[in-house]
Amino acid sequence: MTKAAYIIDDDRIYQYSFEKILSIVDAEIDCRIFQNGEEAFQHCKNLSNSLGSFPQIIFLDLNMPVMDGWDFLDELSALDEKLLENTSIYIVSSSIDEYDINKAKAYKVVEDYLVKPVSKAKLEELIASNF
Amino acid sequence: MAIANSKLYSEAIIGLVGNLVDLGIWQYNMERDHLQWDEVMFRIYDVDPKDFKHTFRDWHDLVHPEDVEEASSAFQDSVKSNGEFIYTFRILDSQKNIRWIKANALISEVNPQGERIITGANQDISSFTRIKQEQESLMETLKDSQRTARIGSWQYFPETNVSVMDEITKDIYGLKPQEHIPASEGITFYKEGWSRETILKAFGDLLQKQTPYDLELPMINAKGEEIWVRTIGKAKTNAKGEVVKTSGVFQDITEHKRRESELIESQRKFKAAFDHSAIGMALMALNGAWLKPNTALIELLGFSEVELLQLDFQSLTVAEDLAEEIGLLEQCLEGKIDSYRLDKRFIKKDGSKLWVLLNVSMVRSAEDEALYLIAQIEDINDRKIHERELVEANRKLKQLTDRLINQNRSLNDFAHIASHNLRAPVANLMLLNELYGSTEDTASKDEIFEMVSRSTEDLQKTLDQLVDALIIKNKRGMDMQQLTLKQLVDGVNQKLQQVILSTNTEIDYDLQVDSLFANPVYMESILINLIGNSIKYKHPQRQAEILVKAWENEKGLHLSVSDNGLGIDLKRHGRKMFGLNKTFHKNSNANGVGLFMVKSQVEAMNGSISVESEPNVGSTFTIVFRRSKKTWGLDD
Repeated sequence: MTKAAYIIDDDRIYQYSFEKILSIVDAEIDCRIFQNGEEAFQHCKNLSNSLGSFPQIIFLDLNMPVMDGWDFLDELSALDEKLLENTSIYIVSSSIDEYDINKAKAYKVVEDYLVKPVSKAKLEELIASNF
Repeated sequence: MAIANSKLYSEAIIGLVGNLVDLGIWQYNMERDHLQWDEVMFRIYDVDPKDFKHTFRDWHDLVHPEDVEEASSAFQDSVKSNGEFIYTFRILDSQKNIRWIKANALISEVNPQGERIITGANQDISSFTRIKQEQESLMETLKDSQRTARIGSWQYFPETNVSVMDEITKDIYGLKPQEHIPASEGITFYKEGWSRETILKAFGDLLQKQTPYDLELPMINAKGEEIWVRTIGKAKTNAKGEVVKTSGVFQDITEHKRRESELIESQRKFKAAFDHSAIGMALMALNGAWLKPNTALIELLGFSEVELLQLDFQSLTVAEDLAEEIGLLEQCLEGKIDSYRLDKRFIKKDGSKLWVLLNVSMVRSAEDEALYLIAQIEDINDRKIHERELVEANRKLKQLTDRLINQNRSLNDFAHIASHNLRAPVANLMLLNELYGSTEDTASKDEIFEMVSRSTEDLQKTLDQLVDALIIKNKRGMDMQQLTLKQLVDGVNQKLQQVILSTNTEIDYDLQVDSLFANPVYMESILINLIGNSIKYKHPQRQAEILVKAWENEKGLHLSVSDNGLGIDLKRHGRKMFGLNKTFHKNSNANGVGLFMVKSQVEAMNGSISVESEPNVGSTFTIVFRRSKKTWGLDD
């Protein structure tokens, strides 16, 4: 089984550096980047229609243009639960607002809330528990 | 045959009772329940013969409800016993007036058909009854009033030394009706000393000189209670001038005396309260003239009593407070109210004004005639001053609170912006730093370093924006001037000319207002941002059309920029519309600074901004400057 992860974030620098760090931690992970929630959701919808498999991990930013992290979570929660059976969603945001943290943890599909920047050590721990 | 027979009977009866005046005759056939009345009967009972059905029931229904049961059974009894029927009862005439009827004859016979016929007579005795009743009730009333007023009488016959007291007199002495005391003992009930000496002398003078007396004296009655009596005595003499009888009236006036002394006491108390009261009090004439001011009032107003008596309350009332009081006083005089109460200002002798709480009550005679006014005047000057200070302090506090709420909101916004917009580049820098440490090859390191530079620039830019926003926020109300709208709009047009032409945008102006009071730099920046946004987010399928409109209504001066562009889903984005670095379009130029700055600038000029938008239809941003001379001063 291939190791796959999605990064949903509009920050180019973050995309670049996070992907790099991820490949350092585990070079086998197939990483896919989406610019915002809408791009990612369209992909997920197509995936569910074609019965394709979801990645083991989704790293989701909250503050994005067009469709933000919240809207993405809402749309995704409306899909068949079984699709996400083997998927862990991690919120990765620069927001340290308690409100955001509590709100994120209230979603069933959300595994954890990570505050940017995510250290390499934390990422290693995470990868180890999900693959 | 039956008719002939009944006529026969009637004639017989008329002969029988012919000596009676206005006598109604009736006949009753028991077997057939048929009641026959003559003309007089109908007159006595005030019944129209056409309405009469000739049954026992007809009579029964005419009798007074309280008497009908007894009258009926008296009638039945005499029918059964074949005895005489004499009975007096009441009936109600057609006007529901009571009439007294005396039924006083009964003859029972059997007619040729073998049916039992009863014959009788009725007489209206209302007039006799009424007179008798009136007399009885008059006597009763007299006795009642004597009892109530406790007026008794007595007689004394010197020759035989016999004295007689009526029941009420005995009752006043505290004696039982059957008890009897001689005149000499009666004297001992008068209180020892002045009272007894007075009555002894008066009674002696009555017997010897026939001098009548009328005295009010204290007594101790048989029950040991102290009472007051009014005793009146007069003498009756014979032809020789000798006293044969003395008699008099004896009245218990204890209650009257008690009330009298209570009244004196309450008057005394009132006078003391009036004179020594801490609050000002005065008797005033109905026209407002001071009649009797107390010491406290004299001190309060600073006028002497003599001076006050020359004045009325009107001349000492502050002009603005006078109308209200005169209105109340008029209602009092018209009897609509008994008293009134108001806060008002008096003018003291030294010309200063004094806040008082005034309470005025109308005093009326027993005949309800307005006599004079009692005014109570309480000094509330300090309270009023404190009240005003409190209101002022409250107002200031409210202002301060409002400002704090605003600042708090700004701080919240700022904290939010700092959290989101500063943390992001900082997080990137940290991440890049870690990456730099984990990367070996030079090419990658260079790439990472390039990223660090870009991140640092981002950070710098964000900080600059925040600083700009803070500067705007802290310069509220600065550099405001009267701007000509046309000039302002032309300037903006000039600056955007390049982009307007290149995008083939059409801009229309509807300026119903000539000028506004604002900061010129901010206004230009706001318009460039709004018009710029409209062009930036034009709908790809159509030419951009923009309308800039200015108008004025009761809410203030409005300035709006409308477009037919992409529009924004306000349900999703409305809440964060004006936040820093918020972007709602996939446009690569979107940096999210514009609207945040626009809002900061509008608010710095005491305006407000709102947005209406519909996806794929267009957006309208409206700025409102509320009407206030301080912020913008058109045509004022």
